[in-house]
Amino acid sequence: MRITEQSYLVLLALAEEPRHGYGIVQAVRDLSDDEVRLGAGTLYGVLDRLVAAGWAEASGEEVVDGRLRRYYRLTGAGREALAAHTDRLTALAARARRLVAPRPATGGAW
Amino acid sequence: MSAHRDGQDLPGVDPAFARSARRWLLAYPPPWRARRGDEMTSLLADLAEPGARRVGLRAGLPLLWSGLRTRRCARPPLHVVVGYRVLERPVPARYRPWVRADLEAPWRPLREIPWRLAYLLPLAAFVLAGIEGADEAVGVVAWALVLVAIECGLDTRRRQRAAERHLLPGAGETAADGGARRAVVLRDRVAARPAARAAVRTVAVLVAGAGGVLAVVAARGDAEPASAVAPAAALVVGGAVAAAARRRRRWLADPPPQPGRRVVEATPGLLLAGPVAAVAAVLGVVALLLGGDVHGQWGTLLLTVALAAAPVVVSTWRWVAGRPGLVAVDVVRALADGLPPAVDLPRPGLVPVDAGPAGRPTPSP
Repeated sequence: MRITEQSYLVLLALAEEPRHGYGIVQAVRDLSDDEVRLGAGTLYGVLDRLVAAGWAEASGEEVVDGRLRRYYRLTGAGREALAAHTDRLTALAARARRLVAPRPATGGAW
Repeated sequence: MSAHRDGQDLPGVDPAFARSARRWLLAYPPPWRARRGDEMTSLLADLAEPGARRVGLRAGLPLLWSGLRTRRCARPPLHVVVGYRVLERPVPARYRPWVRADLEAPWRPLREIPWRLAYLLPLAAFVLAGIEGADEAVGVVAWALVLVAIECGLDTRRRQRAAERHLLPGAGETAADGGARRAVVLRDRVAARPAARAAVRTVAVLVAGAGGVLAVVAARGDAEPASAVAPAAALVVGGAVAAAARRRRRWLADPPPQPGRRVVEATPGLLLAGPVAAVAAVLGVVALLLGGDVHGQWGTLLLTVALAAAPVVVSTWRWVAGRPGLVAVDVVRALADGLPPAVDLPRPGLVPVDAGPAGRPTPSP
């Protein structure tokens, strides 16, 4: 499964602890520094794909204040995929830093 | 299906908001709604402004889009659909929820019929190309309606066969992977009231149609005496049969307890089979009339049969209307064979499996 920015953030949110839908939305907002605000449709689109790929699973539900909260958690395969993708992003960030670092001027005539 | 009913048991969500959410969530496929409807409604309520009474466009349109995309993903590709509808080939396991939703749809025959007719397309094209005159055209329509009536009448059996074929877990799969598992189930019996109503409709269509055909014949001046004598005689015989049937109702007076039975409503398809067949028969008579049956002999035959059946059908319908607990098979057995209701035993069948939160199969109620 291809990991988009949204699904990466959802995976990260679930890596910390099992969360319910609203908990994931809040965690993603915090993780992305208030940049990514998931809508309900997008979130469940991502969750459907993660569950179908065997990376996340439902882990129980409870009713709080008359609202249903179903919790989701990462599976072992999900955690591995998350770690692998994080390594890829780290390597990419390191290469990126080399590319955008200020370079000494070369070949100036004056 | 799931015990959750789309936000109807969420006291923490404003009922107006829950209704609005339910309308937007219609974009999602039914199994998805049964599984996720409540938590989605709760999430929408969490995300909305406090005190919101409906899901606005800003939140709703992305839902619509996501729902349609979920539908597209849940729907198998065309070759799988063709395999399922036409060739009865097994459907890959991941499309089992789609198959199950199809098998639970009340109007399933309407989805099946176009595919079944498509099966006959080459033959139909051949026939259609050779049509000369209105009588043959009406005749072809009558034949098509016969096929529709057969398809409707086989509705229950087709659903059972498809469930056997597509919902059971295959070799190497656990029960949770299937949409159903084998179990001993109660014997399903169709309630008598709607069935009697369908029978009355069938007879009404036959009488009105055949009567109309004979009226046209009479208006042309081609009527024969038999066209009046035979139906009148049939009505007399039918009245006698109805009187005999009335005496046999005593077999239904004291029905035995039926712990092994479940009374179900007939599917709409099953209830349509009779009236559709009647329309086909009337169209057939019309085709014969157009094709040279100037004296309406076939119309007379049809009217005779319909009027012979009418008294017993109508009187049974009126009698059954006041007895909601009766099942069709008991009524037919008592009136036709003069036998008391048989005690039904549970028998091998299938029950739907819902994958619970922990992936454990839980039997559906």
